[in-house]
Amino acid sequence: MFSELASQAAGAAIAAAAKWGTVRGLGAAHARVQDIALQQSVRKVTYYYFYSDVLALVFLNYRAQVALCGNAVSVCGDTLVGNVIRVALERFGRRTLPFRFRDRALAIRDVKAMVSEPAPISISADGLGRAGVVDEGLARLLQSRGGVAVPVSVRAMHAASLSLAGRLTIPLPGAALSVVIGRNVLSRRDIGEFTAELQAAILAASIAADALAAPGQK
Amino acid sequence: MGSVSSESELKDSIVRALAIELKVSYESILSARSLRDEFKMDSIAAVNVAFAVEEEFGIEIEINEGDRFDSVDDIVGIVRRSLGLELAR
Repeated sequence: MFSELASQAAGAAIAAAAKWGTVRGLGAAHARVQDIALQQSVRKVTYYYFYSDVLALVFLNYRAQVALCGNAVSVCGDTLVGNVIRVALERFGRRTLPFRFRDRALAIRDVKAMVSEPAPISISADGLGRAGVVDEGLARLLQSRGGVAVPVSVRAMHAASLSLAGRLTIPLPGAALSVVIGRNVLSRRDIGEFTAELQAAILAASIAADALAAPGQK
Repeated sequence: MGSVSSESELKDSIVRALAIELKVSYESILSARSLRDEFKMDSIAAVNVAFAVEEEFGIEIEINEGDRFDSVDDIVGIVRRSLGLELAR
């Protein structure tokens, strides 16, 4: 009960803090999303991002005032931060899917829902593993889900790091954001090669987002 | 898509799906006490097995809170419940 109240309060605070500020790369990101949406009629889409970008991604959704990643359904882990993200996204009208990874039966049920979801989903690539490294579990989820994987990287020019989970970055209110939606990655049979390709694609998107966020860029 | 005529047929189908997903022999699945401990079956592998069984028998498998999905017998029980009928043994 307390946890849900805390999540509601924190989610509302994030929603309030997220609204103002500029976004670099938004036009190109919109064009990419529209291009992906055209392909979506024939195959499923999964957007993936590094967990450190998750709050910047929420800020971006508020600022862009549109569902940037189409009608993507956001996967939220059953953690304090995951619940806060869920509240913030649902306040914006986004649909979420839970991932209750601590309970085996519920985790299986939730993964089944992710694999079956016809709408695009967005999910952290490293939420359960090493920060900045695409988890092989994500690659296997993508293999089961099929379709195309699309990396997303969002950077805040001014942000604070929170030691909670060792990897959470909180954009400061009003901080400019940069966004890059990377290249499509198609599923491969070899899990090692597929994971490496997912990693390469999101690193390329991250480097591009960092470059866009550099001083002097517009 | 097929129909389930007996529990042994259902069990055979589940063991085959597990053997393919976990890349181990049919016999080793049969003798396993914990698929999670012995073959590192995670939730994605479990879902792939569930999909294979669903496709074979044209059913939807419901997994409820508290279900164990860790042995062949666990999975047979869950599928039987989803089928909603008593199978001929």
